[in-house]
Amino acid sequence: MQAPFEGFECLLQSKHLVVVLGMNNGHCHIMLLLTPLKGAGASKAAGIQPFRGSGGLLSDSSHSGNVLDLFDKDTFQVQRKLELVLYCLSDTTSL
Amino acid sequence: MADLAKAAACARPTAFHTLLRALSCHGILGRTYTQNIDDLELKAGLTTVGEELNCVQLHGSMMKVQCTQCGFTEHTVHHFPALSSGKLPPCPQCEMRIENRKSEGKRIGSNGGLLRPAIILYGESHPKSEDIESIQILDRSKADNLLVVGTSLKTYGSVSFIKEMSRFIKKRGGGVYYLDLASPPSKMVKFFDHVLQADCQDFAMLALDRLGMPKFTASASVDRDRTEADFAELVETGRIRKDMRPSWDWA
Repeated sequence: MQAPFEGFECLLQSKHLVVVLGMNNGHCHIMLLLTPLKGAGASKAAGIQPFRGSGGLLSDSSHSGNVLDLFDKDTFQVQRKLELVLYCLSDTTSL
Repeated sequence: MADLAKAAACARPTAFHTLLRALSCHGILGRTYTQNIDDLELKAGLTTVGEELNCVQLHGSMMKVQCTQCGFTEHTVHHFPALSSGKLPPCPQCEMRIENRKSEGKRIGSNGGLLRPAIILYGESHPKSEDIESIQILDRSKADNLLVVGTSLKTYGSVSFIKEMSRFIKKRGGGVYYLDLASPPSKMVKFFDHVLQADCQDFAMLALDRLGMPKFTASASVDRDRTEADFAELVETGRIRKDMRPSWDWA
């Protein structure tokens, strides 16, 4: 990361900092794949577009990219009977 | 959903979660609004209740289930088998009420509710929407900086919130920051004073260092092999949350 704190120094001087976390943020590190886990290449081949966020969510390209869209509203199962596999990106948090 | 919840139950907070907790301990963090439903912020030590509420879960939490009728809530871990089968389990509180009415010879009225994951799907209203609105109004009046992390800024709710918050903050001379691997959408660029294209974990490590916090070291051990009964015990004892806080926060 180049000049990592340039412009960001003031954040640490805040008195009331508000943080908004999105779902494809690296903080979460959970990746969703809609096919059995065989690596990102396989996911792409299956038509899954990776989000280029901070390392977060992969999603079916037909979805908005939001995990909430994946669930059936009545059963809360993953829609279209696709297998859901989760893992984490970083070694320290891998499942 | 059960698989997802179980995976999230195993996951440990990352450096960025730890940074949020550190910011809170240093009196810097006013509030975190998260679109995540995995409770990792809470495992890191943030809270969604009480006077110290510093985390608003905009889409609820999949780590809890809630009755569709009476509002009874319980940890999802107790219902993994039922949720895995695709059938929502009956609410134990409603069942008890029905049994009591039966034994008293009273009319039952309804069949009782079902326990569904306490997440808010699109098109549903947040059960705590009035509370969240009050919190947002408070934050608009107090926030001096806004940090937006890891969102593609495509959903209406988050975009409108960020736009509105940024207006108030800029009026007070504060800054609006965007942190993501990608740049923000072109029509949103004007709302940010600073854009950092980077991995937020790297950012968190540096920020923790600037705050003088111990170097972040996540435990190498993970909970992958824990059984559902193990998880249930951890939930009952409260250990699942405390164990995953940064070690400097255990006291």
